[in-house]
Amino acid sequence: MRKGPLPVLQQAIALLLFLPAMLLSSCADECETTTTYTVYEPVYMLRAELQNAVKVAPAQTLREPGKIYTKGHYLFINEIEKGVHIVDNSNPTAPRFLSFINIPGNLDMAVKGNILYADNYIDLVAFDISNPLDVKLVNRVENVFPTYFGMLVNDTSSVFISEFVETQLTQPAGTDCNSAGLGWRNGWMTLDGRAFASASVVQPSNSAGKGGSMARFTISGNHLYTVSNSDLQVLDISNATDPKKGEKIRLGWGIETIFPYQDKLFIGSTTGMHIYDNSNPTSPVHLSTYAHVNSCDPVVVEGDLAWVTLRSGNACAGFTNQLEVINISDPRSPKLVKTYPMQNPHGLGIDRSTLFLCEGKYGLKIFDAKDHLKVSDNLISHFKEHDAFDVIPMGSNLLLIGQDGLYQYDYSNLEDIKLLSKLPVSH
Amino acid sequence: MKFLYLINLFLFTSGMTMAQTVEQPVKRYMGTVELGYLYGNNKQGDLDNFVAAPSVEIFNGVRLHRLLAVGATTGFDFYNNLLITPFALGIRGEVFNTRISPIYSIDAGYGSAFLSHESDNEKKKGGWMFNPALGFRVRSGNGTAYTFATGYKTQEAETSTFWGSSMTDQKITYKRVSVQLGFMF
Repeated sequence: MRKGPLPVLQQAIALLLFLPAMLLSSCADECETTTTYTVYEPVYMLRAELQNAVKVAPAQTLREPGKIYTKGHYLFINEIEKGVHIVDNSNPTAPRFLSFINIPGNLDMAVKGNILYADNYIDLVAFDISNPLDVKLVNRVENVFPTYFGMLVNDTSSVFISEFVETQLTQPAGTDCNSAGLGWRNGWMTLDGRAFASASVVQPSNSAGKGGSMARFTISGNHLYTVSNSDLQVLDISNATDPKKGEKIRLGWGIETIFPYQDKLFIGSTTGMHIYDNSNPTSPVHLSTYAHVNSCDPVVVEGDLAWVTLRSGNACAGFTNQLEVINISDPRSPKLVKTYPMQNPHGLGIDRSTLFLCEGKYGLKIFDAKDHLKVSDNLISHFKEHDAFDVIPMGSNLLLIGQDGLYQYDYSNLEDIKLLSKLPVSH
Repeated sequence: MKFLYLINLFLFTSGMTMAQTVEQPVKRYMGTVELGYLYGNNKQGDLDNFVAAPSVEIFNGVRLHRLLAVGATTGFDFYNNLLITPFALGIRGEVFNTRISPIYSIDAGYGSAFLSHESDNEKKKGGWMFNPALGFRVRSGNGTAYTFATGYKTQEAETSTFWGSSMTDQKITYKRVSVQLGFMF
């Protein structure tokens, strides 16, 4: 070993041995933790504010159409949570917007005579529409739907929760380097307060004059039936301008649609179809429940057969997409006759054995349902070009609502179904 | 992907090692394998928590001069819950041509978390790394040498853990002292 480099080397080695000790104090990991979570903040509304907000406004274009309803040559189109469009449809090839009724929280409606009933968050409002250009509010029944968002609104309370706004919050969660164990602190804050409410909100439907299969309001004789998530509310409308709260029947969770047929009420829920005997209209009696897997399911009935669609989707918590035919000749024991696989069925309508079935983004399918065991073999036509939520067959004209607007078809000749008009949605 | 990488790594290093058995007059190739620990304070709140992450480092390069070899560095750094695989450019150098000589190394590049275990609700991302070190080597004949080096390694990483609709995101900058024993060939 030569002499020269050695002292240098010894120094270097000494330095290397001490270097780690010197560096240690500055060797602390830096960790910056943030948590991001979703909260649903309630928006409160004053009862007085709610009442003042209801008024007639000039005609508007469709933005987020919900349920549709037809009466005479007028169409009523719900604008989700905003109000109702009144459309003159005397010429189906050129429907015309007449006016817009501003009804906050409105999702559904029904018409008897010249009176339009609509939900207004927690209240039911009645309008005189004898002159659609001059609609007047004639009555308000308070607290008909007191369990908005599952929260009971007291009769005397002056505020209620009108909606929940989804907000993403990001917060610093300290400089702890403990690996990824922080989330539980906020884990419970993510519970979706809206889950129940939104299940019912998203889907359009319609009803009297005549409503579609996805309606939550329906009129039978002198009674208006409304279904909330959990209850069937009967309202006596023998005096049309003065609806009176009648019996309230607890149905269980997940109620979605109501469809009257003869003296029965068919109530679609996420878990099955309830059949109620309506021969005494003030107090419907439960006959039976046809249970199936969890999914969304509108119902229509013709003759002895009930047609039910089940579909999957977020709000519906199901994984089934099918059409079921149920024999209800004995309403106390409905029997499944046949199941057809479908793509993503929403609303459906039936008119003289012609079945109209909305397949959501897959469009509208029209089947000949004379032989209810061979429906899938008898597809008459399939309109794929636009989204379809719900239909109302009206003898020769078909109303179809989808995400892009309201379509009217002439189906008097099933071999040659013609598009009459389209009311587009403006974005 | 992971297996492919590991197999390639093995074949490459073993191939290079075997190539060394053929003596060459001018030794252009330089390879090192180093084993060691990355030592530092992984703070848990206000509590000091000194930890040592095992580390393996493999360098393959070309000697341009005694003072400068250029090559690529890869390996494994076993941090808490996070396995980082660096892909870095590295330089190495020996100060003297004596049996024992000080050496230096600088590696800079990206440390990937692609080999790290991820459960369904986790995402792990690597980040930039920088690793200078000083040490000495002792020749052991046959063109090989043992090395001892100590240095500083900083490595960025990010972990995201999802809890339903919420998320915990942790940006980590590891700052560690590296202590490594190695073999140079």
